[in-house]
Amino acid sequence: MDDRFNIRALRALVIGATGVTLASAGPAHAQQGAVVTSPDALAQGLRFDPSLSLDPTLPQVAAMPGGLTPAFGQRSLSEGEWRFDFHGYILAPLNMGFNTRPNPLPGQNKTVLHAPPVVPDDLETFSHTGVVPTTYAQLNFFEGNSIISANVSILAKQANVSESFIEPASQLGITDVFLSILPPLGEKVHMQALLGAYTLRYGTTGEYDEGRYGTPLIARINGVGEHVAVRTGWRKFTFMLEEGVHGQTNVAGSSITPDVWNNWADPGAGSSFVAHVHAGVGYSNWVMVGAHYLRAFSQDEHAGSAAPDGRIDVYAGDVRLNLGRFGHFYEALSYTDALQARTVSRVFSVLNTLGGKGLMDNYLGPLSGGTGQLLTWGGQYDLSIGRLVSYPVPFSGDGPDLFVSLFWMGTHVSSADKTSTYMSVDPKSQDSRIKFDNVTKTKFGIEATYSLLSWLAASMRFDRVDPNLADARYSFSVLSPRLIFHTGWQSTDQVVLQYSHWFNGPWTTARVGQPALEDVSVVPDGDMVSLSARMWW
Amino acid sequence: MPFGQWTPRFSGFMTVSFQGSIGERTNPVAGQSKTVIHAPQQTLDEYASFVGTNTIPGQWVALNFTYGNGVVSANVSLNTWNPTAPTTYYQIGGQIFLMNAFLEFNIPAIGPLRPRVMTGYFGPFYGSLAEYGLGMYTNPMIGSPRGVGELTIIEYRLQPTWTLFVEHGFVGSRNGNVPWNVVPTGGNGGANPVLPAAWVHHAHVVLRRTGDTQFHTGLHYLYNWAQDDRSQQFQDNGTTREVFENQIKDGNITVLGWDANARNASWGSVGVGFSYVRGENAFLLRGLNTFGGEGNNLTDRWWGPDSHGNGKLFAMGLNYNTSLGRMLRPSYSSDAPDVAINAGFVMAYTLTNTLTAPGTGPVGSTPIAPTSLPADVDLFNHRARYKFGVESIYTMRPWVGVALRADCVVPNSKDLGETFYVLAPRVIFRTNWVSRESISIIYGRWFYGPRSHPETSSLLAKDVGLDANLIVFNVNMWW
Repeated sequence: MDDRFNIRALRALVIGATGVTLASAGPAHAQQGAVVTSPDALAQGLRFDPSLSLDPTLPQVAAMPGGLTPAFGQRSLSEGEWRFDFHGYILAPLNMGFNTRPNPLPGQNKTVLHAPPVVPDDLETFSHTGVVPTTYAQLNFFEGNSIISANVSILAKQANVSESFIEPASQLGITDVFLSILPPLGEKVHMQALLGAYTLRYGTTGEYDEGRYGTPLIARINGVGEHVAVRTGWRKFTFMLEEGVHGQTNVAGSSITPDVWNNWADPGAGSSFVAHVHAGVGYSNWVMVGAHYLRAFSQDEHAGSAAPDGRIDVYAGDVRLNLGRFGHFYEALSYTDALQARTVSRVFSVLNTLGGKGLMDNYLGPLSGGTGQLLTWGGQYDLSIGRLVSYPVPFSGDGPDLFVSLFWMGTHVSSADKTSTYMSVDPKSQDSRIKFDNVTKTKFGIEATYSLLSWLAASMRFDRVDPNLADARYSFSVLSPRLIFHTGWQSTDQVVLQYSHWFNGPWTTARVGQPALEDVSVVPDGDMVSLSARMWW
Repeated sequence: MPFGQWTPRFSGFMTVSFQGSIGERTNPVAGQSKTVIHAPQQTLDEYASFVGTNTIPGQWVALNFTYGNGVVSANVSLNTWNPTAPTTYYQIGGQIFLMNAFLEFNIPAIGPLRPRVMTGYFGPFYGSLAEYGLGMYTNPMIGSPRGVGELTIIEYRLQPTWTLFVEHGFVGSRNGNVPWNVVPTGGNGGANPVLPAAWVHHAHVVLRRTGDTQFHTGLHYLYNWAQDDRSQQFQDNGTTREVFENQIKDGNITVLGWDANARNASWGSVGVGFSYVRGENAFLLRGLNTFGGEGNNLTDRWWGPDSHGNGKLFAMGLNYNTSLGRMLRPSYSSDAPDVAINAGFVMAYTLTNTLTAPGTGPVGSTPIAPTSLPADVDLFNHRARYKFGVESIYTMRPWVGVALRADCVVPNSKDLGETFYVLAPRVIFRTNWVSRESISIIYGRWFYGPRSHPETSSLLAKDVGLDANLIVFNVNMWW
């Protein structure tokens, strides 16, 4: 049972390098490799892992502090063995933001405390860094054999006990429901079909997770449909091909009023569908190059009698390097071309935005009609110094280590919205305009985690965000020292005590309210203290 | 479960469908295509509606957790009809979360009697016409009480092959009456203070024969009623013709039913059922799902809004399914090619004392039906509806089969222009001859009549343009 427990991603690399299956460390992707067991197949690299997309059962959260990654799922070994399995992930943070009151009255403290913190970390925006942990719980139920399995997940993004008001949509309930089929096609070909309702993610910077920013650089597909991935090998090369078609199961009618209880339903979005194909080539288990094409489109009269059909095309390429003791590297380049995408629904998500409207709200502008382009790049590099200096002695993560992670991301926005929107309460101030067309956004960060004891690690993370590279007044930086407590070197739990300080620019804004909107009159919190507990199994 | 040994159990079922129905835009403008694609689908196929044919598998997930021993077990189920991943907005009620929570006691035999008791939240079905389900169509022929309460079953062995079952149940609605100051909105799932606390009392006698040819027949009685002063409102809501909110009358629904099923390994399974539903001021009643639905659907769809839930409904159904492999080859073991046939027929007839003329409907709503009929026609009194269908499935390989289903639906004997037909070929994939899952690709084609339309209170508007073509990709599995 040990191999279904989480261990360090670092250990995955070690095990992979020593010729033992990667399945022992990785999530479901790695476990799929168990079908191919012959030495020949191993030599041909059929088990190259991870593949082009992230496994749907992995939590939809950013990477955990300290270079850890949860491992889920363990398949049955034979067709005759029906097995039940249960996995999960919980993250429960207490976050407290600190700010000052401009003009306190008698009985009011100068210092104010905010929960949740008022900081520029909204998931949909480019400013999101993932520094602020947010509540998340996922329970995965699995029943199946070596060929077919049913997978059901239950999700929540709030815990009712800590809510001050009920947000129904934060209790997602039964979220993913799908069959996974691994037909026994022999040792030369490995195929997996996912059929049902689930989320696919492309462009994830982490080796086994969504990366430090928790933002797929290419796209996220939330839908019901089919996805088939085929892998085959020749000598040391691995060839991968994936395709999928997805749709949605409900659509907001014109009579529905967007509100908190319906998660701000969008009657302006029509029935939308996503079709996508991907190809990849891997070499000798250390490099994988992928090419991606995705199209989301809507042609539905219910989106409005005058609403044009919308579409979003994404063309992307990525490279992933498993460098052994030199770490893991990922880089992606993505080009998003949106045409009248206002009617494209939330089944398709670019940079964590929700459909075409989300793309307009966060990147293209309200007058773009959903027409514009994003050229996005980003990557991540992870390195275990402990493993580097231990070489050639394998390092299994059961001793002191220094884990370093570098991560970066940028996007250039070209929009049909050539206007500017006033950011300031003073509309006469020409300097205070925010524009959407021809804007470049960048961010980067570094995190170093020193595991000094079996129960204690110290971490420091620094982030820099430039929402408009041409105007530093929007920019901000975040410094986040952390103490990480756990029950063992390779435990499946963490208690993190974190302090973060934001070095905000004069025009740095945060989103507040329901729905969360920019409010230029709100001064973001400069400090936050967080105590979070998480566990995975 | 073994006696004395506490054991957890997990079982479940899932069916998930990708659906897209194809229609045409009436007046496309620049940038709009003539063809439109709808998800969810926009045909007449709606769950629990008489015009629904069950051609399209929908979404349903059930996770059942049991913990107990041979005497007592706790049962909890998590359910949804709309998994969140493919949704574009949050539908209150789509996530049912904890749907059933009950204890089941298997009491040791008392002489010749073997009692079994269920207490808690649950909902049994009565009137299943098929061997393992409701049959070709989804409405229960007798009824399904739902709520919190008890169900006691006493089994008495008459002869080695004949057993008598006597059942009795009593359930109340889970929430009871909604507090008076709650405003019905989408956010609270339309919680309406006018709904009274309602109760269901039901009793059944079933005779079962085991052996090569199994047989069972049952008589059923179900009674749903309310007597709650709290639902009385100060003023009448003029937009609801079905009830005067300032004069709430105690309502009741009585169901009498009979069903029988015989099955044999060679010639298959045949089921027949009949039910008689009588409602008195039944519009506000909840908790008993009859062949025509709960009180609101009985009123709106079967007796007319002006009936206030007063009327009678007679329903009968017949279902037959067989395997040609079993029928023609005595040694057939399911591990070989086969042709399975399912056929079903359902008919209903309504009587009501109030006249609802064509073209009328609740104030502010679209008319109940198109206005082609003369104004003096009573839409609901002495109205017959029937539908029938047949499905044939040819399994040629362990992993693939093909099927064809055809249905004819006659929703209104007074207007045959509402009649329509459905033809649905499909390809079915499995992992073996006998498997726990199936994957289907379905094409559905609706041949509508000139006045085919959704029923009242349907998810679709009366005047919506119906799509004739549908593509479905369905996966399901049970364990």
